[in-house]
Amino acid sequence: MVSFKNVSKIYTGHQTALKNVNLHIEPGEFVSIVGQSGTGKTTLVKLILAEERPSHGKISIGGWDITDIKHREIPTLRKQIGVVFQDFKLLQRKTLFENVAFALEVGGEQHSNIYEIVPQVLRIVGLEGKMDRFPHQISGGEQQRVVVARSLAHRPKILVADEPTGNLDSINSRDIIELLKKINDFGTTVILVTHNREVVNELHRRVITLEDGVVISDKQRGKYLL
Amino acid sequence: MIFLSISRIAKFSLQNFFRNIWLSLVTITIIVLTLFSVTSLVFVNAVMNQAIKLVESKVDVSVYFKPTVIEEQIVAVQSNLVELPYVKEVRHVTKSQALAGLREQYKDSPLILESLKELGNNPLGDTLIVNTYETQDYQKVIDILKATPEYAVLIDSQSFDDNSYIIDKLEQISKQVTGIGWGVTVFFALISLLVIVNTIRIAIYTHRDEIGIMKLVGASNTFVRGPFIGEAILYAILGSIITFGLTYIVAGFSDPYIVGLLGKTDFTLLNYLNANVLYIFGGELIGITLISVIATSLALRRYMRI
Repeated sequence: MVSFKNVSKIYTGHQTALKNVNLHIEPGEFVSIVGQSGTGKTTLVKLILAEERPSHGKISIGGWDITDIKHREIPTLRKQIGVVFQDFKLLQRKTLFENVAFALEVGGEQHSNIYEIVPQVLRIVGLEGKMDRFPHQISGGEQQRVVVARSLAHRPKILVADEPTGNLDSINSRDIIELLKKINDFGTTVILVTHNREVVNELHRRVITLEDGVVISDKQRGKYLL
Repeated sequence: MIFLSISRIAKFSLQNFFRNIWLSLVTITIIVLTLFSVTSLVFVNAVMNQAIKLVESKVDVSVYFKPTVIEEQIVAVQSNLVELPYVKEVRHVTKSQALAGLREQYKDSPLILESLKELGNNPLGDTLIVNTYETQDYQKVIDILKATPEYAVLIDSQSFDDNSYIIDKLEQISKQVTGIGWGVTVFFALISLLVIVNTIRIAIYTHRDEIGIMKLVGASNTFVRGPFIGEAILYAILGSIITFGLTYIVAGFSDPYIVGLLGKTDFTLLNYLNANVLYIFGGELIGITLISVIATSLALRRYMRI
């Protein structure tokens, strides 16, 4: 599903973020990518979303080689990937319903389908009663659940969660992780990027550990090593 | 699919406009002020041109003939002058009409009337009053009259020389006023362009995070750009409509003062607006829409690279 072959990323100024990374994630897997701050986790996410291009190596998503992806093809790639960010990244001028609907509207989904799907996904994350509120009118935990709902709406094959619990308390963090597990149970590949030891150790799933841009460990039922 | 995208872009444009109503109002206010300033300068130019035309219409060349010159000779000169392409009109004032005019003019001055009676015979000659289309052509008329020997002997040569100085001055002032008027308009239009471009840049800057988020959830550049362009078009249209209304109100209020300034004339700002409505507002609407759309596209470009 996601494959990195000898991938390195060197930013201008000779700052190396990733060094010769090799990894392969199968469809339906739940993988945690862990490491301390500045080890290249976010760069890895940016490479998957084609926000950055690799300096060396080859990246493919669902068999599609995106190493040299054309600019106009990026929206097509991103429509296949759901993304959850630490800072939520909700559209502040849109209601919760409209935020989730937006992910479907960019894909040209019909009106009737949007009105069917959006309440469904908001129900899954427990926000069906707050659809008409704006992001600033709900809590941080609720905002993150909206982001999860948005990432689910277009039924992506892969869900990338970049530090989804970074801005949340432990109760909200647990809720979000439970949601991600549920999404994975439906068959979606989940890539969780985190430095939250507790979360990783409770998952008992595959853990890839990064240190200074290098993969130092890749265990099927791993623990947070660092 | 295209219709669906266009309808969504239109919906987002309206949503953005109303949900950010203060920013929208500020942008529209700046557009209105800019357009109104440009329209005001167009008005000032129109009034100045009208004032100059008015003065020009009062200027003519009066050819005073010696009292001994006979009617046939005057008619010959008149028909020759009328044939000149730049001559608009040549009026013949006979010596008796001239005398009646003089009496009427000085009816309250018994001394002059008494002197005229003393003279017995009509001391005045016939007059031809020549009007040209352009003021610069008066000199040509004067030159022809001077240069043609058979005319020169018939004419009191002092009659038109005094006018040439006024005509020259008027022409000079007219050219300068028109030049300065358009210079100021162009200068102001350039300043307005900078103000509008920067206002739109700031409006886009406040939404830079939103643009990034849209791109990350898979929106194409057209889908991101569309609502912002739609909003810019909405600003331009509303700004132009408000300016249109405001201009008509101001023109209505100003017209009595214009009549006071120019005297009894067919020219009013409302008439001028009605006659040039397509040029003024059509031009401003197209201009401001193009500026807004181009400024929006340029301002968006730097945030679209995600």
